[in-house]
Amino acid sequence: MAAMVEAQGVVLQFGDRRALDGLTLTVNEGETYGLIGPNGAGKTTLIRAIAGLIAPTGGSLTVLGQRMPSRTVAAKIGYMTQLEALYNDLTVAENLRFFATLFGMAKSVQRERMAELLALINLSDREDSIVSTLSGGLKQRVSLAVALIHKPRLALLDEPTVGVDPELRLAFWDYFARLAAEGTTLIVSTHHLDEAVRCDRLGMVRAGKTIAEDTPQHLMAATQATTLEEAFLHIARQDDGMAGNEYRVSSVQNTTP
Amino acid sequence: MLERVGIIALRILWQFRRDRRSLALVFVVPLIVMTLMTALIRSGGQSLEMAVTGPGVLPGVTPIVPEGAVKLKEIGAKSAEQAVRDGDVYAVLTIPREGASGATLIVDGSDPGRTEGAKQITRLLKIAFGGGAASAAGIALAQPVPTTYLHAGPQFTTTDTLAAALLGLFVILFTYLLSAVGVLRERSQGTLERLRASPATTTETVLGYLGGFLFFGIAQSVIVLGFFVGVLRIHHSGNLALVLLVQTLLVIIGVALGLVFSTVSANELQAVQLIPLIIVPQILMSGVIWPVTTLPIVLKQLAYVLPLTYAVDALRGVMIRGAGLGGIALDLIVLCGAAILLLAVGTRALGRQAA
Repeated sequence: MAAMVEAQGVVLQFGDRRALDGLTLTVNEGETYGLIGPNGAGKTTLIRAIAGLIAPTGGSLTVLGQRMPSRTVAAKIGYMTQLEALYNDLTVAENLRFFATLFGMAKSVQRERMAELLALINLSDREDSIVSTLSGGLKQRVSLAVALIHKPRLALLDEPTVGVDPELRLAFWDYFARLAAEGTTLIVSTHHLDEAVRCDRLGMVRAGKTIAEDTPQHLMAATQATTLEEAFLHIARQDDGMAGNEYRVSSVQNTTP
Repeated sequence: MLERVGIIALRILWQFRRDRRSLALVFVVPLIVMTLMTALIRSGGQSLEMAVTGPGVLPGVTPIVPEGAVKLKEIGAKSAEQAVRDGDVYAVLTIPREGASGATLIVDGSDPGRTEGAKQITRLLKIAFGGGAASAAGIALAQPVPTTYLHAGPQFTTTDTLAAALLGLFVILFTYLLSAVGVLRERSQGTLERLRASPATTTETVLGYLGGFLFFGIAQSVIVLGFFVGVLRIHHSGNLALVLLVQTLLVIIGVALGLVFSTVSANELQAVQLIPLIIVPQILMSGVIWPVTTLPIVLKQLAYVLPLTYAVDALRGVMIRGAGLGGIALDLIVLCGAAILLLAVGTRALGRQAA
């Protein structure tokens, strides 16, 4: 399997803060890769670096064979942020149409694709609503649609299911499975372990480094844990031990199955 | 590339068609402001009200007094001083029995402009009625001088000069404001980041902004110009297509200024706060109200650095002096240069905005 994303010792320095401290991971083409870790661990920074928004200050980051940052692969990447990042004074449909055209999607297929995504996010009847009139949760759904509208080969989703109700969350992940079946590579950061379990591989990020990278099953086996939560707590404590610090494990919260 | 530039420009149009206040700002405010100014200027609100009395007043005064500049009034039985104190007239010229050489003038004094006007009328009348036998010669001297107008004509007023300048001012003000706010909103909404993560380059984004605002800039110019000429009956001499050319360059400069200053502003209020710094000095120094040549040395040098100075000169050149392309060539070259330079700076500034 070809590597879609290759991070080798990536360092990202913001002034005096090291957001990424020699991070290494690989995401293979077509797989669904879950990013787990505490807030502030560097998941969002990593995702933004993969999206080409920030340049690594050290190490190497390659996406689709291109050293990042690089604009040539931009059209093949879909990116969803934690901020909704939508045009608040435009309608849902206008937002989708704008980004579809921007990412090079032909006008002839836009209508159909928009309908498909609006159905997924359950907003088919709100396509002419101005975004500022939507609630936060609805805006987030639109944001997901915008990230996926142009059928990207690599979808970068930063906590896409925060604040989403359980039924819709399931619908999203069923859609992600469909995308994966079509060959799309997904990198999803999440705090929900029931979602993590659906990923092909997981990368656990802590303090700007990857401390574990494997399939959910292997992780559980290696730590002799019965649940993924146990596995992570174990790994985190091990990491604490190795680093020799007093860091209190607060990762892997909200484990509502 | 064209598709991306096109959709960004189109998006700006989508955003504005729903923003009624911005539309009013761009299309309605210039019309209202200009109508008010025209009404004020044309109604002769600055006309001097004066009375000429006394036993020495001869018939034949009225034709000598310049039409429109002075309104002659009667003060009846009141004393000269009382009439001025009461505000009936601004000045009273009293001609004694001996003749105009001994005339005395009483003025209110609170408006130096009108005081000067009253003095000039007095001098005119003294010449006309100075000496008994020389009256006829005097009256002949005081007749209006045949005047040859190299440009414009007697029907042109301050309104026309002002209109030409305001045309340029409105477009640069509004494009600066709306484009600065547009970029800042993109930054705070997070869509600027999405643009950066997309195949669209910074140049394409800037071109898209230019496209969208050019549409509004030209539309505004056409509507405002049409209103000036058709409704307010502003006089104009030259080729209006050249006017649109100048306006186009001003739109580009306005958008570039918006880009540059949006990068030093944290929010929309700050962009507005910059208006007294960027726009108002240009209004005062670029010749909109006072000619550039009359400015003190230091300010005059500064005026020659401001884009609006050249735009106002070009607009007046076309609309009042009927200049052709050759006549405003220098202004156009400077404006083009400013547009290109500012656009380059603006593009770099936008590109360097790390999210």
